[in-house]
Amino acid sequence: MHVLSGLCDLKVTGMDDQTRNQIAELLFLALENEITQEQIQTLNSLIKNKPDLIRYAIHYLQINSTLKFSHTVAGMKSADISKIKDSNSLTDIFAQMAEYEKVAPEVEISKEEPKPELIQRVVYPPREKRGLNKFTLFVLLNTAAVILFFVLLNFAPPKAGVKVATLTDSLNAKWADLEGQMANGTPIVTGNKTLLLREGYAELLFDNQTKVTIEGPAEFQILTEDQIKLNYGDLYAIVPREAIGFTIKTPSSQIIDLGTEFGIRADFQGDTALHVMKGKTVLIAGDKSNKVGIEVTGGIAKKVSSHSQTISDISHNDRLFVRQISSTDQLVWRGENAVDLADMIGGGNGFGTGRKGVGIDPASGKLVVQLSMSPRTQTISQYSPVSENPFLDGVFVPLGGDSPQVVTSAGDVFDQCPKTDGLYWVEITNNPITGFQGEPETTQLARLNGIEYGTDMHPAIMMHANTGITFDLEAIRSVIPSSTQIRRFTSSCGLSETLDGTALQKDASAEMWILIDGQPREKVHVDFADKSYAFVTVDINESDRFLTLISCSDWNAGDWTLYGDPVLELELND
Amino acid sequence: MDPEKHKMFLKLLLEHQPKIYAYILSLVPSYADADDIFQNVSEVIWRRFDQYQPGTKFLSWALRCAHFEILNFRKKRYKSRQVIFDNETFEQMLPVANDEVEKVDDRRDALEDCLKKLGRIGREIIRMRYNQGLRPKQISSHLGYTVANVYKVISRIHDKLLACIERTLRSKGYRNG
Repeated sequence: MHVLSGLCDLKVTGMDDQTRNQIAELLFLALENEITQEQIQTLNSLIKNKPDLIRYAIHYLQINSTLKFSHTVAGMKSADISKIKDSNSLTDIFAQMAEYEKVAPEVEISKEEPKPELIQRVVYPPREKRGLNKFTLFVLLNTAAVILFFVLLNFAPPKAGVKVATLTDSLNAKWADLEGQMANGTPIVTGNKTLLLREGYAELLFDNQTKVTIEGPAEFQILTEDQIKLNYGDLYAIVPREAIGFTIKTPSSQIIDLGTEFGIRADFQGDTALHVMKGKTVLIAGDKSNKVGIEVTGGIAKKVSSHSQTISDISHNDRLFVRQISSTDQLVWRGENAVDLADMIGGGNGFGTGRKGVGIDPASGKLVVQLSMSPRTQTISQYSPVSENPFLDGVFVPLGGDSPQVVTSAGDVFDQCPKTDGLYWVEITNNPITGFQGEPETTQLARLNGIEYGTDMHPAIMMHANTGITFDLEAIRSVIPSSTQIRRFTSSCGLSETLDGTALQKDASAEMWILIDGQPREKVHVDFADKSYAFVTVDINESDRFLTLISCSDWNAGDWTLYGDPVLELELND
Repeated sequence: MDPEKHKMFLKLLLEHQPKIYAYILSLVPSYADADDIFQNVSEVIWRRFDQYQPGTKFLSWALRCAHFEILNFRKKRYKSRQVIFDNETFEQMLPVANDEVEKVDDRRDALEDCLKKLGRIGREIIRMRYNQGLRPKQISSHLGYTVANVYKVISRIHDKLLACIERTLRSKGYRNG
């Protein structure tokens, strides 16, 4: 038999060529998972009780392992082998190989080195240092967890058709080619199938508890239990500690999580933007032979250019990605850290879904779309539930004096309620207009400290004396993102600086109270004359149930009191 | 685990990965199964790395973990006839695998030299299989050989490389390769 150029045949005691070749072929079939049961029996019978053959088998298998880590193999370039002719005969193949490579016939073992003309002269890349190639050396400079998951990822071949996640929620989602197949609860399996979310939002919960929210249009594939390929679109991932190593691949990069929250935008040009909200990730760019990897921590954003394969700094945007959705509550949360109570007056969830220009009648608790702005008097102290709005517990006209003023559905009494004349002029509204109907020249948006309220930038709750409203914090907690908690209430409060055209306004004054579960936490006295206003902050504990806002006056005229930018500030849970 | 110990773990794992994998593959001759076992071993070592004492032999510890993972693997697969070596053969291979693992680095150095001596066709086939990751069936499509002949050719290349390695090591004074 002709031999491959430059290699010499070795005669081993007790082993002929045929046996050796047979063992080699059987072992290679086994390595490739192509060996049959009959062949397994043959292999065992060939080597059993034959120490030399057992040793040969071990060496043969080790060489296969070594080839996997060989620097020479890693650096091999593709060669032109177009001259090889088709052949079914092994002898022909070897003959062709010998002819192509111009090798000499078989030689015996010799102590001398092979003659130079028998060795193919080829230029090879410089030999790498033993033990660590350039890429491995690079990753050694990064954190340990990164390297570990590189190593583990390399040895985790993806298997198709394995259920690794569940579609837990979607909102206004339209899927391509999957009409009717993507209901909540649908299992998500690994494989080559590309999922295209044309519009809307989808939330996937992986079996390793990683939560991924995707905003369409987006195209992605689920590769393994902890790898997603995002071809384009926006994706936000919340990865718990036990799922460290979760990886997102895009056309230009790879992001490996180290226990964090991050958002990724892959655009149609193939560029990738990474915004890390919390924790740490590793961002890898570049192709096989020229990878670059950096650690990216919370509050930092980077971009990978698909064209140049370089990583650059970009501005961090913590409102760019949808982090949480709720089809039940119509919630699309981009990380906003405040619940807008003016939005809730309009039936919203606190994140901009409510209507503007509506009000709540403080005497009846009814929703009003056309504000009446006319004087009415309440003579009986009562607390009216707002049945049409789950976040509003109830409303009232504070009378004070001898009448106990109930301020919550749990019966909490505000026993410091000042005595009022029971007169109220306008519904509690998120449209803070001062002035009167039929008098457009005096109708304008309320103003505090020079800031105009009732805009998108500055919402407000107008509470002309005498009115009170209670928010149900428990109900609000049930719809805010699960990763957050209510920390405090903040608001500007005071009398609007705008003129309503009445002479009495100059003497207007009022008291504005903020209660928690019926207990006063803040009291602000405001006068129109000195343009007084205040910024209030009230801390809220987990056990606090009701937040009550009150505006009252003992002489009700021109008391256009408002709560400007009234929000419940949220904080992320630890 | 503190960051420094993390770094140490990964340095040690990467440094000894060729030997650990070679040990596994020599007793579980299937790439897919060896990959799974190596991953399990990595995870076990990772979880228990707090117990590792710096300065002691990481490789011995890692190979012990690998040994148990291999035994577990055989236990699960034996009844369904999914293991290659029967119990008797496996018992005979164990001590040889243990002896030979220490020589993996020397054999690897020898292999790098022997690969340079491969002809163009042999190198291309090795490149396709171990650099590009093509399976024999795919190599067969590329080269126009039958799949059976691809298996024969590759196993012969292995055999010839092995012979070259043996010769190289002999010339350096090693016994039994």
